[in-house]
Amino acid sequence: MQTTQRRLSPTTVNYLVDLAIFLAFLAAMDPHATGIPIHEWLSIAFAAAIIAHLLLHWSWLVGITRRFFGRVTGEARVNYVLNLLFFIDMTIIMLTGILISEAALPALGITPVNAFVWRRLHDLSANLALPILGLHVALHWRWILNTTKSFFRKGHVAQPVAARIEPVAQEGV
Amino acid sequence: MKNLLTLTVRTVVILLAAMLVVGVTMSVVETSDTGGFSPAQRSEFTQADAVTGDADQPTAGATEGNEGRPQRDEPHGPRDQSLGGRLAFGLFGLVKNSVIIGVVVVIVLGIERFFIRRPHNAGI
Repeated sequence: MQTTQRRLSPTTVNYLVDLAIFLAFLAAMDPHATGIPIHEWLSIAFAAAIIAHLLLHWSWLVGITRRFFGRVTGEARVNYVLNLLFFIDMTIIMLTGILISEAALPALGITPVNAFVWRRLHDLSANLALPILGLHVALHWRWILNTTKSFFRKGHVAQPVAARIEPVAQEGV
Repeated sequence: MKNLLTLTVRTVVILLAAMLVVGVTMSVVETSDTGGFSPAQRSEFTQADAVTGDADQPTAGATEGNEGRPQRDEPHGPRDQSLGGRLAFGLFGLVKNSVIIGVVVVIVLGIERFFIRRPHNAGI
């Protein structure tokens, strides 16, 4: 009996990871809905998801970093700066979230500092993340739309392993 | 094996970049000594902490559930703590955040279309 090993295409992997990150972001952004413990643990897991997202788009990231002041389209440059801001903002959200943790860190036996300045910074950076994410989504809207359309087309979700010649992440982070 | 090493190196690079941001943020906050906040903003947070009784400590009973204490991000007092109330408020928050993202997307796409179509229209 012959079996065909099928694997998700890199585009589909990107799409699914991005979708999961987006949904997790929405959930993590609303501690009223999830409660503080889930909010904190989800956000910690979110860090791993962001690393995965960056690893999936590594070639784009390195490519633009090398050519940022050289021959790069304006759109790619704006995209890069926005992504950099997003990365900084997300790092600050996580840092301040850890510092004011009420559930995750105490559960691990660590006492957070919980000073008001970190709370304020956490709120500010979280509020800033929403419009930045909006811009991030807007800059990739065509890719999101096209990939969503093709995702739901029959037979596009999975590809045979031999057909996996598509380079990862040509569409940017 | 080589792939694993490559992934590890890349992950370390990402973590180092994050550590750089952490270092800069912490040094800026520590050196400014909360100077970036007005006295009114400071007193607002101090009052919020006074309600929970823990200005510099994590909220008491945080691991035992949320009953009987205001959440850390609701300085204006406790809300409806019932499951239905929490879910409704949570759903409202999710919708609100989605709408904010959607509005930004619509505005950016609108601006993009305006500037892309403008030269064609101007030529007529």
